Amino acid sequence: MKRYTTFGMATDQGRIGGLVGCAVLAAARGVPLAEVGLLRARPFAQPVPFAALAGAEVREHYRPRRRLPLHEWHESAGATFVSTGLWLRPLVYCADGGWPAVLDEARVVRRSVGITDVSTLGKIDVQGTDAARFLDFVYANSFSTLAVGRARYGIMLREDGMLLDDGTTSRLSPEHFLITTTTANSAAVLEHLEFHQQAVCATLDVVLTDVVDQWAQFAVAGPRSREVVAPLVPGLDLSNEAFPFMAVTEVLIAGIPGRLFRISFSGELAYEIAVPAAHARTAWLALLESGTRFDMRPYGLDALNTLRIEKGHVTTAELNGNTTADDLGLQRLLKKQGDFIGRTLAQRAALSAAERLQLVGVRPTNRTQRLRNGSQLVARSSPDASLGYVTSATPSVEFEGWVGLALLSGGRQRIGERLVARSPVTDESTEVQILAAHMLDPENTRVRS
Amino acid sequence: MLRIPCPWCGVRDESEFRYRGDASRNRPAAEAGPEAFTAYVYERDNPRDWHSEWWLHVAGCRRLLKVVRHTLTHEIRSVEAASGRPGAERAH
Amino acid sequence: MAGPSRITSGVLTDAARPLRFRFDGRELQGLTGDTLASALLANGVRQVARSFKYHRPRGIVAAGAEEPCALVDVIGARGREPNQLATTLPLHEGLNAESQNRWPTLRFDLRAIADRLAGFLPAGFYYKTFMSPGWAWERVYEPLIRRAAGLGRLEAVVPPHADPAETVHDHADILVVGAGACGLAAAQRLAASGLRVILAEQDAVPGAGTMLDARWSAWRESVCTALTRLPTVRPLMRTAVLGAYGHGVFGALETLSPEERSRFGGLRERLHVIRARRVLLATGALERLIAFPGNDVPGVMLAGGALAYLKRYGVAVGRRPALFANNDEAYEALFALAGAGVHCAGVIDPRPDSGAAAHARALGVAVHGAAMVGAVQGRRAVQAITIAELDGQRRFVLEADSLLISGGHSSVRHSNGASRSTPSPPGLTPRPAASPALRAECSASPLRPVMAKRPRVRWRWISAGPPLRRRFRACRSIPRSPRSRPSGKCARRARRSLTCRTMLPPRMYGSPPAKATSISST
Repeated sequence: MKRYTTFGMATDQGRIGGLVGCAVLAAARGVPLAEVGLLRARPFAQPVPFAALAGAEVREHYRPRRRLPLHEWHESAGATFVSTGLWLRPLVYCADGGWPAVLDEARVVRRSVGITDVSTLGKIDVQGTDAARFLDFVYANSFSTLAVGRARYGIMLREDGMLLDDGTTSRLSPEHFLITTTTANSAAVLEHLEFHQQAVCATLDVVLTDVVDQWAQFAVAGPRSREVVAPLVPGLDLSNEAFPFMAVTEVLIAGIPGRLFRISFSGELAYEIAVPAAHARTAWLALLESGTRFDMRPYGLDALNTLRIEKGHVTTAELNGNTTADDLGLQRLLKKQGDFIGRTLAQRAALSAAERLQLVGVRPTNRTQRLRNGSQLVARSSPDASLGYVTSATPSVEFEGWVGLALLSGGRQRIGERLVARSPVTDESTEVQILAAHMLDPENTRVRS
Repeated sequence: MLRIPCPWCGVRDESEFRYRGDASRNRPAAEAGPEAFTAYVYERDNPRDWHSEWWLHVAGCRRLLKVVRHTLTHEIRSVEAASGRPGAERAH
Repeated sequence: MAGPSRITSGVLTDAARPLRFRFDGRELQGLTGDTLASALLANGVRQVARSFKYHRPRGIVAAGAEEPCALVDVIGARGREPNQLATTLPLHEGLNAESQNRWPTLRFDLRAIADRLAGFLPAGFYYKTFMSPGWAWERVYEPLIRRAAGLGRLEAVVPPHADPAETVHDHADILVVGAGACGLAAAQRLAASGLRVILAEQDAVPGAGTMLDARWSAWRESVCTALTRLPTVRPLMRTAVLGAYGHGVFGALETLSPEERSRFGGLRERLHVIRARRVLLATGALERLIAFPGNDVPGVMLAGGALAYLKRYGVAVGRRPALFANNDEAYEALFALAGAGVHCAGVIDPRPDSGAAAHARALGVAVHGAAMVGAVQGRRAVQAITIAELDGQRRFVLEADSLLISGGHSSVRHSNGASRSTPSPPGLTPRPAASPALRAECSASPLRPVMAKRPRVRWRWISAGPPLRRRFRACRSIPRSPRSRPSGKCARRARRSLTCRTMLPPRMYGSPPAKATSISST
């Protein structure tokens, strides 16, 4: 009745005319009124202005803002900030940079050394006699085999076999681990772990603590990074044999008790320095001081992205909830023995089908052409059938022109092929070549140097 | 708007919690085949009845609670902790 | 005394403090304490708007927030604010209001052509029509429909900074919704026993129905004073409870008065999120509409609304009102108007006889029993009423300039909102007890609302005199007391067949049938 007569709508809302209309309907249907019933009112009883509902949470107060411990320093250094989730992160240390400023920062990292603030990465402290068992359960690869003082790249699956997150987890002692997660997923991963620890693994003796705000973390990356870090950790042998790739230690950094990790996201020799957030400024300034002789510069999120795309590291652009470990080429990480979350359903045949979107690298054959993020990969012969899409794209400092990562149907079989990247939104078509995802230094000689 | 009585924190609005699914389903044993896991991950009843479910108190104590709620009236019959008891010391 | 129709002093208005305001460019005078609607009625302004789609003339129908027609534009410092409800808008010096949804003027609206074309524009038609030709939708149909649709135009002056806004989270043992006789008494009793009470009233002053009868003023004063002295009571005036969201969570919107606004730095509304252990709904009842051709003409008002305008603001809604009612309570409006010296044109009552009808005759008002209104004549104002006898024998015309209607009272349920309780239709069984559905709903789970309208509970709490008993019966399911039911075979037959006949507007069902559909409200 409401749909055909608009009865009970608009300004009356059935307040005065409600019963009469229902009675009319009852009479028309020939049933007693009790059977028809009354209009069921829904909120709001009175019109409410939007301003009253929004309250004080408008404009900049719409969401909470999370700031880095060094936010003021970044601001004074002229950083342009970007909000990623609730965080404010420096994008590039330039007021109106554009790509040239970003590439400058990335170039410094590749040639000399740069420093960036990665405090936003999720950090979860795991302690307990069963900590290793717990990590074995939540991660697809093994962590009980991880030696003390070492870190390992780990991937977590959801129970349905899809990738949830990746990160580098370090073992600080036999019963003490530190998990890192991507910035975007840190809250989700923490909840995922807490849920499993209390519901599924309640008998295990393990305690989880979220320490993302307690630690400030900086990455010093580039061929000269060892020489920058070494003066700040006297007494620690930083040579390649004594402190190899993926080593971890607790050490005094510029006099502050912190942690030193040799892990690299950029593809260069790199160290990550973690200090308690209250001492962030001291450590940061000490590192900058140490790096002046190499012209060390801070680099922001855009430069970090450029470097990792060249290297082929995945972020949430590729870990989008629809990809499996096999899609991203990480299937060898899955352990063969032992149960872990997602083990059974990750083995479903369809999840390793040949036509699934797999991670590859792309590069325009014409080096002057731009590669658009999100453009669809199509064969030249059938330009309307999408075979995949570009997930990340950047102008390259290591190679000429643009490079990117893409998810391509049957990608690993198509390496070497030439396809077209079509962007209907901007009406562009670029011929691209399909490459292996790890375009830069696939042997990892730089990070292991 | 549900108000869930957390055993540690008292009665709180549902916006402080995260819904974590059906609590009547237990994770199958490791050796149980893909059918068991498919049922665990994908299959859910939709009862107009009392429903046992997990809520994680993310804005508070971060404990996992097993709540029995009636899906029609949203009445909450019982709330118990998934593990641990309020006031109990952890044995170390 | 500020308006030709203001015939006496009202409870809320202060004759010593007149105010000036404008409506549609006319300078008018009102009193402090008036609402815009009461001031307009005092000045004899009856048509205040045009209807949504057909642009039919619209007047003021009720005296409270349930008003569906009197929506006006208010032009002030914030630009033009549309859709302000005239019956709740407090009058202030310099208020500038305009009618909306008409062009060029309220009296002569070109868009009323839609009313002539009504046969081609039935309700709900536009969902499926205007499909072809396809190109015409974007270029022709949609722009036209968009411009014609909606009520009110927004022309806001947006300040560079965000206006202040507040959300308040309240906690209480009991939320009492409504500060009428029942709500005030309950709040006093509950707070005296130490419970934390929040008393929410959408009106600016407490009292509601008690303001309609001078015998209640002493009681009302004493209870309000007592409430201010009780420390655990929080009275929230001008606060409308928006809905029940389950588990004792209620939303309420407090609209600040102009003085409070300046005190709080320009804050206009305050959103309350109230968490209460129990709630007491003392929201009273709204009068029901009776449908007949022409029931939307300006001048057709709810009888309770007319009584409220007289008692609260001292305004007579017409110089020659008629009453069309099927219950004794509605006659109060007539008696009050007659007592204030207004000559009443007559009473039309579908019941053959009743105690109130006899009283009306004793006052010299013509009562047409066993009759109903056939139609109202007049387009911009009521001019005459066609009366038809129930047995279809005679039809005659009564001259009147307003028609007060009352089809009984329905309890107010719209704040029950999202809670799961299904409303049961009121008073349709001859038994005076609450229907099983209502009883079942009242069975207490701690978080379910406790209905204030259970008769037994009410009698105990309040020492009731005759006027209060009548008021409560108005709130309850059954609109008439058993005592006033006429006995005898004719009466029984009349009761069985119908006590209120509704007729459908011709638009929906073609020409009005001789014997229309009926509801029995015995």
